[in-house]
Amino acid sequence: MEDKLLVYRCKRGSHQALTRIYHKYKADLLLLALALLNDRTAAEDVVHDVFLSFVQGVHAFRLTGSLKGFLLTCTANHARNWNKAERRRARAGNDETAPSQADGPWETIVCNEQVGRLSGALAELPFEQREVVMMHLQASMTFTAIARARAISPNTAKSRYRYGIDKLRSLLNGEATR
Amino acid sequence: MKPADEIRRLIDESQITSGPDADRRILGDALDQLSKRRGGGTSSPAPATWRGIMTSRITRLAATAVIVVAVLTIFHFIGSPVGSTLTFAQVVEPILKASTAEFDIVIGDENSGAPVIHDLVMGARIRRTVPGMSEDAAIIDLQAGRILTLSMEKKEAQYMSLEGLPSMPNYMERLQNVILMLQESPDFAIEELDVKELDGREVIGFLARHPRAEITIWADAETGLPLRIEQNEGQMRVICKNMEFDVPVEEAWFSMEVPEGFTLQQETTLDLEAGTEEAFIEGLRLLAERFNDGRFPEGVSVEDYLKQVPGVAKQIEGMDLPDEEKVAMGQTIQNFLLFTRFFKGEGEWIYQGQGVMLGDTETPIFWYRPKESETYRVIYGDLHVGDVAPEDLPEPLPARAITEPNAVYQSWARPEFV
Repeated sequence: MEDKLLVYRCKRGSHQALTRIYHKYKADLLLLALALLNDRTAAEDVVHDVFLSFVQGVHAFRLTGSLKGFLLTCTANHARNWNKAERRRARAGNDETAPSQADGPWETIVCNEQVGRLSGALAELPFEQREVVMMHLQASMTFTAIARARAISPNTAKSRYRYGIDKLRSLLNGEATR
Repeated sequence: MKPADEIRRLIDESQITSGPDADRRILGDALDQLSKRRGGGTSSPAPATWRGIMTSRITRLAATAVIVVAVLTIFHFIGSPVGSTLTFAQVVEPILKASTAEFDIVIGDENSGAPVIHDLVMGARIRRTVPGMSEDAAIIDLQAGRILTLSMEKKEAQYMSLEGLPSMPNYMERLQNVILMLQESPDFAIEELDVKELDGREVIGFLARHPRAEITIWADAETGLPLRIEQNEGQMRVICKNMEFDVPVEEAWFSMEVPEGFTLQQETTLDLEAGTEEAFIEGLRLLAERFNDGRFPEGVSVEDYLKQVPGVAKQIEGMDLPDEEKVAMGQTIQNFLLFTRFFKGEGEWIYQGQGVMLGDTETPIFWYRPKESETYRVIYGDLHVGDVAPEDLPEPLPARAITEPNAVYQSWARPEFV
């Protein structure tokens, strides 16, 4: 109910409500964005765009599920778009906006060691597998919901998840034995 | 350990936060955007237009009866299981603890000019007034089944006996018992509604559904106190608003004694079981013949009649008839209303008599299914009645008319409800 109140107050222009939403969910959104993109600057850009989009559409927004789930889905969508744009730039040979490395400009986002391990391992997976793993494990989305959001079959979502998890385990176990 | 457990644990242990620069950029831009989009507005209801109805003793009597029967069972369905929704528990708590209450009641559309009924409740007694209409008051004693109506302007008092009303020693206690029973009902479900603004206050809503009833409760978002209840009772919509609990009251306001200086008029009776099919038909005939140029009225529900009362009252006043005949007319209309108000059939009744001429032998104007009957009773324009199989009805019935029992009748016949 608190989220419904916050959304309602945002619709009425409350800065306090928007600030509360931001501080309540920013860590979840940044983690998802970083896990999907393995780039802190890009993760910050994506979360920036998610909040701008949210505010731009808030007057017509109707909260039917959880606000956290909604914002995480938006983050996954923006990250996907960012990833596509990045691949286009890479194909065009423009390196100026290439993603910064995991040890790039850290001053704006602060993470613990686990974030580094997670995003480093996820970076080894194809983007499609990364996103299904994170949407299922972090955003608690069902495979049916993921399939609907990504216009794929639930079986495809499940198999991407299974491949992703297997590879992640292998990567993390290998990391542990080194 | 499941394959995903390790990854899930890693996600759970991951800690990430934004620095001040990121906050300034992300939140700052979002707040700027929000400032650009600021806006909104609300509408206010139209004022009631009922003033003047109570100038006549006869029309006042008929109007009082309508208002009394319309909302006698207002609170019978309030309540729901709390489940995990703490806020809903907070919403019903004041009702559970209150010894007195105060609220306004509107039947039907708030913006249609319907009168606002104001109730003060203490124990088994209700002091009911209609502020937009007159200074008159009705003291309802639910334990004794009696009403004292007081005309402040004419200094007249009149008792009305309520027949067929189950005795209620304490209205608030009864309400509280109903809530507690409903909380244990497995059939009740709660749905949270969107937040909205109501009379300048932010309110949160809960829709309580039961196979027999549907109630929406709006509570103050800050205090959790219930402010408004919207209830669909059968085919009647009742809105209870501006609710306050444990308000200070004086016993004298609820006295059933005739005040000094008031003239006592002859006692009348309101038989809540008098709403028979015959009484309904007589009411239809009266309304068509005497008040509508030979045509049947626009509607036959309490809500519809409340809209017609000003016109009916004016017409009665202009009739050159003895008082006894005018009183009899009021009684006929009262019993006519009881039929739909405490409808005892299955599902819903259907009225399609709008504009049909009295005497039309072919046109069905009203039909319903009596309890446990396989056929429908169909009333035609000449007021003859036929028994008709469902497949021969004038037009297909809406699904809920067939499948759902009627909330009003169930609540009345089984006051314990669950």
